[in-house]
Amino acid sequence: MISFREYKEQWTSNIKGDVLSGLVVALALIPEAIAFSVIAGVDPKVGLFASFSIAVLVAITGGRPGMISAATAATAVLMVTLVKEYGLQYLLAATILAGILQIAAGIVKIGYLMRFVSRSVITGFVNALAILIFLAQLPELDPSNVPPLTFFIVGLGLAIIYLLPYITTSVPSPLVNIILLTILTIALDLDLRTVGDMGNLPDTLPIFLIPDIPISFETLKIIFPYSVAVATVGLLESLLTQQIVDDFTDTKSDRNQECIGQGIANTATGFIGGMAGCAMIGQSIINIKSGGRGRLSSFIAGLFLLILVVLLGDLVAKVPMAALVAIMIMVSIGTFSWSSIKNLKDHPRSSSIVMLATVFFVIYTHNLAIGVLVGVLLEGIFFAWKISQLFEVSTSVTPDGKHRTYVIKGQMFFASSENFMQSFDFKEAVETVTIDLGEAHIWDISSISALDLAIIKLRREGADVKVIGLNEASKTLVDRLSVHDKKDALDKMLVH
Amino acid sequence: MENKTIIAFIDDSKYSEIVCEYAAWLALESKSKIKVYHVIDKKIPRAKQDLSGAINLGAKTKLLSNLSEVDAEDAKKLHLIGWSILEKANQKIQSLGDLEVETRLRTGDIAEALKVKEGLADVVVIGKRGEIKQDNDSKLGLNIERLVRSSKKPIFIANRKFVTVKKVLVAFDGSPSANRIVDFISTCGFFHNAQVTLASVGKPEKEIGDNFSEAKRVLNSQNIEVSIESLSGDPKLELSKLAKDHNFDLLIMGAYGHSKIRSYIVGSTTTRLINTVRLPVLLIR
Repeated sequence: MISFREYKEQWTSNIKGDVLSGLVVALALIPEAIAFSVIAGVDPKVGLFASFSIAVLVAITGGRPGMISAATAATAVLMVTLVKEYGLQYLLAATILAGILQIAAGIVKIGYLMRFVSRSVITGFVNALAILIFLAQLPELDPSNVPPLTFFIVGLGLAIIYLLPYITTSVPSPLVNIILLTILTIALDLDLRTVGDMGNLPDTLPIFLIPDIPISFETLKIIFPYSVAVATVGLLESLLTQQIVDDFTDTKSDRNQECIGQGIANTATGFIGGMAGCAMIGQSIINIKSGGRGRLSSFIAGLFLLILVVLLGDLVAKVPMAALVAIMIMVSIGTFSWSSIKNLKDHPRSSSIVMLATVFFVIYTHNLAIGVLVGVLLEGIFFAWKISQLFEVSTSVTPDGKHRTYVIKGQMFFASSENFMQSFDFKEAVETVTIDLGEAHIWDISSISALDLAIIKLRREGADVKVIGLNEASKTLVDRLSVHDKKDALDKMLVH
Repeated sequence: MENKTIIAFIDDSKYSEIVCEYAAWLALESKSKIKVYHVIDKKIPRAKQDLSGAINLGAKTKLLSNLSEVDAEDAKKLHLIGWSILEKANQKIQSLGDLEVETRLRTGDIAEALKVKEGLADVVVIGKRGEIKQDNDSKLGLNIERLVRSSKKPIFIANRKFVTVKKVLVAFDGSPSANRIVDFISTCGFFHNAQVTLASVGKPEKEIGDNFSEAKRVLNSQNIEVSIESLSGDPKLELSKLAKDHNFDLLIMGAYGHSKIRSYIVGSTTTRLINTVRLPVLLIR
């Protein structure tokens, strides 16, 4: 927990920068909120309210000042089938439940689990997300759905977004893109799909409402799987983004507080008719780049977004979708980790496989949590495989051929058990066998049963078996290695 | 016995010189070494304002390297200033006696630096006010209460003027924390040339008499001269008055016994006393 003074400072230490960047970010939030409402199959209103409420509430309760949260691609794609089969009310209920799960995760300090998510998995996640955002734009670029003119307008939008910063960096080029293309569309009366065609925009401020669902075990059974997925993906993206913002600003922040903040934001958002969201990598990059550092930036972004769509709703409805698609393509390109492609040939192959597998499974399942799970599992397997190489058996026999000694060195655990068994010559008929474990580390039950099995087999062949150094070797078996108690314990473990 | 360590925190304010003088005095009395810290309070990096809101391919890497370049530039400048502040302090201390001095520059927050480094210290010396508040004399430096609350070590708060400590006033109430203060005075080695006065305010003589005689015994056993004052009235006012009337050079007291919440509402006695009394204060947690 931080002190009240520090908290206050996180609001007030960068007011000018935060306000300006908040305004810029709000513009980058609108297209995403609208686009992903459309994907999830609900009115743009749902995404816009969500973006407002999540941005504002996370600004107040989150753990990472300067990070932007709102309605996102990552969570929207998870809820498509829920909306299709059960409708909006169930989505709101699932959002609330996801929020509660996130709060619980924050309280049990699940943020610490992030250490098991390796750099390769993070890169895979980020790339997958960028691809998801891009894929989500495809319906708006489908030649059978939209007039051919759309492609030209999107291209024009991208040109404005990318080329304008070469002339001036004091106006947000996405805003210029929106304004110019909207004027162009109205002036020339172009036949393009507009935001208004996507569904209802908010015309009032959000109001508190309780989702209209039967409160029963049946309902819980329907929404629970969605809530778990949304909560997991939301926290994953938030914690990953948090790491990125930490790196940018060279500051530390509280992960568990962020989990709780995300949870509170989602819970409250469900009650005002918004869908679940989480932190956003692209928009957070934009925020930091525009000079945003404090909590105020996210707060202003949310507030400005609401003002914009409520007051200027009629104008917003006339914005061509193509202008928003251009912004989302920019966000997707900016999110993608370009260096990861270059690194493919330099990095160890196992890292590249983990990264690509994460991307593949996300795109295949449209679920970031599954991709990350696969990535983490693969990483774990590769790691275990590498460590199992730190294992060696040397053996010697007395000149009379009656006494055999096996000296085991290195790490004994499930992945090395097979090597362990293969290093014994069970068909050799000797009088005594000595197994010297003095320089081995036994990490788990698998290696113990492998050892048992080896002893039994050797005895069957008529040998007397003696095991030495077992005490030393099995010190690692206890779940909690209390090496921190004794200063030289770690050295001993590595040497003995 | 192992050498003691005095840690002094300094900044660019006029108190820093006084802090050095007190640190030197403490070190000379107890044959300690001094570590002088200056903490650079890192402000928000002033990156070039770019409101274009556009992010290209590789935006993340580019932004990170931009930000770190700006930071590195700023940090280099702040380092130069920091080292010159420390060098000034070092010269000041060296001029006061043959002392072992180490200087250290850190970035971040002073409370954080204290938390990380105080483990090595026997006493921490800081100025009553910091850089920012130096013209506002009635209010405590904004750091002090926070620092003291987050610390476990005795904290010596230097006043505006250095005076060799000869007469010490101890706020004594017979509580366990008061006994800790007495233990500290007897073992710290700073006060073997000083006169110590234990003063209790608003406690009946008979209630506290035994504690007094026990404290006296402990201090006398270390050849520290002790006298006793028993007063009635408001502790804050009476102690300030006593300090002024009898030319005391230092006030020693326990610190922040009450919860943070309580001090938000009624204000902390400790903070108020540090404010009113025109003496350096040694706070013992």
